[in-house]
Amino acid sequence: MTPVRVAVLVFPGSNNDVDAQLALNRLDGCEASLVWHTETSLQGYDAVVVPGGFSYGDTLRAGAIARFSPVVGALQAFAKNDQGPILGICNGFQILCEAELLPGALAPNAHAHYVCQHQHLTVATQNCLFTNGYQPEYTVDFPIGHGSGCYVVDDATLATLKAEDRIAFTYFGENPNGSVANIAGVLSKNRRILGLMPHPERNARPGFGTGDGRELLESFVHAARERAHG
Amino acid sequence: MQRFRACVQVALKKKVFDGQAHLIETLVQKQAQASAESLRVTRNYEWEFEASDAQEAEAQVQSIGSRILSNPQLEDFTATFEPVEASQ
Repeated sequence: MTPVRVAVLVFPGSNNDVDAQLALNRLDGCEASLVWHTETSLQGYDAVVVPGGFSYGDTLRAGAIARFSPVVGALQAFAKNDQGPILGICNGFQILCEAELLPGALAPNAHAHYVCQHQHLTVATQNCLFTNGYQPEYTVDFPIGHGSGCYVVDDATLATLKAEDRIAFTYFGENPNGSVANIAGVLSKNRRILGLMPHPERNARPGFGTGDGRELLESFVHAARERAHG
Repeated sequence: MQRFRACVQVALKKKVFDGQAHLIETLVQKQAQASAESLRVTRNYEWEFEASDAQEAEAQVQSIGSRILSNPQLEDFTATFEPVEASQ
């Protein structure tokens, strides 16, 4: 079986890049590689993960400088040509919003505290390549760790996200950061880009937590394989 | 070319709840026994640059403010600039 090649982007200050790579490389037929922020092309990759961390030390705003890096230019081309699915986790979600690959933005948490905890989420839609392996209204446990996770979007765009069923995950129980409509993760218009603040890769190994994140990563790799190899 | 000094101030949009500002308001009220309302936390950027005239200077500062220093979905910014005297 030809392996699915996943690029895990690395910026100065990324700190969940290796976690994501390890979680992906535990899956059958997946070959995840770290790709430095100075790279100008993502040719040869079937999917991309933009991992968590504090790219460029969150200078200006979380994700604001990464947006201008060469590899994000390559990522925008990758998305435009629909070369494969894209998953942005935590700082990766912030970067995808700053790069206008996803709508909205991530503001500092409303309570002004950094949150680091297990977080239950509702799978708000199964109608996408990332979540089609979960049961309807399934609740997953993906850990969170962020200071700027308050999802902000204008009213018109929020209405569009709801009408187009593009809210992938919502926080279950208490909203940990003040996000509008309890939103934890959103999809692009073509449903092939997902950004979410929680970390599926930190709970992707059965026996080490519930392993809830593995289903998302498997679906992501499966979609990349279908797109690349038919 | 003329030399200018720019000042750009960035803050969260008023409709975005600013938890940090709320905490500082509370701190001022409790520790200084003073009233503090509508407090806003801002980031300030100042720099010198060259442009052919005031019109080009304004265009540059506005572009940098909206494209780099702020996220229009989240933040508002105000931008000012002034000529820098040659002797400075």
